[in-house]
Amino acid sequence: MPRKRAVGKSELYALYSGLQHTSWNKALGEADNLRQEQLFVILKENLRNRVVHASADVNSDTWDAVLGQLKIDTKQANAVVAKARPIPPLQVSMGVARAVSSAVPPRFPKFLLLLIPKKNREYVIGDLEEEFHTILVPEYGYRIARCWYWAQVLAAFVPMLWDQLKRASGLAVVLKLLGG
Amino acid sequence: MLSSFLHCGGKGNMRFKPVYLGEFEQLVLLALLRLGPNAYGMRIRHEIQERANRRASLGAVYTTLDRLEAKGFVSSWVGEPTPERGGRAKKFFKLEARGQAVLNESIRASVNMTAGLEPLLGGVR
Repeated sequence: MPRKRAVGKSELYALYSGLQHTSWNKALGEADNLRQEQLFVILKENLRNRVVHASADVNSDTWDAVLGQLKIDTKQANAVVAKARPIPPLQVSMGVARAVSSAVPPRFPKFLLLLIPKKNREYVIGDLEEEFHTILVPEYGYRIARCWYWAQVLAAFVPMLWDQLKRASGLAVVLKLLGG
Repeated sequence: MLSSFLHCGGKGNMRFKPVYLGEFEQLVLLALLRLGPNAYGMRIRHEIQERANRRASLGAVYTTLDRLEAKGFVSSWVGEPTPERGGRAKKFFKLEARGQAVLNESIRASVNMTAGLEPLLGGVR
């Protein structure tokens, strides 16, 4: 059972400050008929984008703070919030809390990924980034996630490069002829 | 049976070459079958790791998928970009009828080879 603690307001602000105001306004503008839970799903989606894959619930005070911070139409949003049931405070693991403000994949391995064939480059980088943000950082913390990212980049890089080299040098044809 | 043979050779040189799946290719095709329309690189890798207890790199998965696609066993399409991927799109894969036929053949061969060997294989079927 991972240790959990409430995340402080300053950490939340650190998270929220990077969210795009326009996307939030758009989400809330369309939220007339949404329940609070649904709004929190939107919130979580945005958080995930920033770093956290938290099984996070946010209480209404925090919600107001978020709305104020983002200069969102609080009247409309509060009307939705008022109808909803209370939700327990945000709890995330210690690892996640520590990683909140700094979890981005390391830069150099990302640069290495630019050397893999263009055909699958975007998808490989996307897959690695998704796994980094949604599984590795929340479960194991930033440091282990970084190591994992390095290992994965090297493991992805070598077979693809080998495949390219084989094709470029005609080695693939030779190996195919030898192997049948 | 015919479907598991690839047509090869040039004009006037019609011949058929049997197609065999490698072990990893078979695992990838089975993962595609399991995941259905949600099959993309990361999930395929996870499926193989969880079910076959085999570690595979994304590079190996994509290289294998490329090879299978070139043979016409799988097809791919690009999905919508998602925020958790830093705005990058997913590449989804689907098992084609030809791939299904080759996979069936491959599984049948394994099943036939293991028939009657259960005591020697320690109960593995």
